[in-house]
Amino acid sequence: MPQSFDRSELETWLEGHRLDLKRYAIARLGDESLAEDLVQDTVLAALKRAEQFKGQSSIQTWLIRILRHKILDHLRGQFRKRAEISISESDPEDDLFDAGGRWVHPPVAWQGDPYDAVREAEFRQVLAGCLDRVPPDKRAVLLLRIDGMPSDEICKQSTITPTNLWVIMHRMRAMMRRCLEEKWFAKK
Amino acid sequence: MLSCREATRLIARSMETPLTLAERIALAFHLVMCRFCRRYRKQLQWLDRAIEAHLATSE
Repeated sequence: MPQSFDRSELETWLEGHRLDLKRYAIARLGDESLAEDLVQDTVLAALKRAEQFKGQSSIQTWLIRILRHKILDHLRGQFRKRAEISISESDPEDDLFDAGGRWVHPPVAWQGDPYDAVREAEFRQVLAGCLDRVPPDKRAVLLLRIDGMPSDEICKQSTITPTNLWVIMHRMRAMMRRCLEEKWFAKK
Repeated sequence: MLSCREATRLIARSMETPLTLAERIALAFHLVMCRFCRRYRKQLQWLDRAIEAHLATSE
């Protein structure tokens, strides 16, 4: 990794990373053309801010950080005008319980280790299929969060309120949980 | 006493924001006694880990 580089060197570096960035963005957004746009923005921002790259982290880490900001900037536009969502209006898991709040459809035990499951191509296909059912903006929130971005950072950068964030996460996790239960665990 | 519906909501919320002390205590009591809510929590954790690992392998 060069300590300092001229612009053409940097452009070559960035080209080499473009595919990785695109794969990263598509996995999180599930929308190829949106991913393409945000990767393009990322590369431009990286060129503009080249002098800020200190070489302390890998260029990949630095680019991913910029890309994450771009995704959150995009989400800010998407979520800005939406009203506060109230969980009491419609909890996605309401139908699991009776009027007294007791389990009617109790969860089954999910056997096995998630890391082992992910090694199976068949499971990955099911999981990817379930993720594709999640609307792109919410998918991006879900995946940035599960990927380790702290809730408060997501809220700050995307202007999603903390209440909305947990309600979104709850709904999306509920959706994914049901999908896996139906498409994977029920068939095993 | 928490209902299972309330307990699952607290489990979901605790994954994003810290619960109050009273909520944490109520949830802990409930989980000691309720196998299904423990299982629900375990499923959510399983799900998060699987998605995380899936993202890591797709890069």
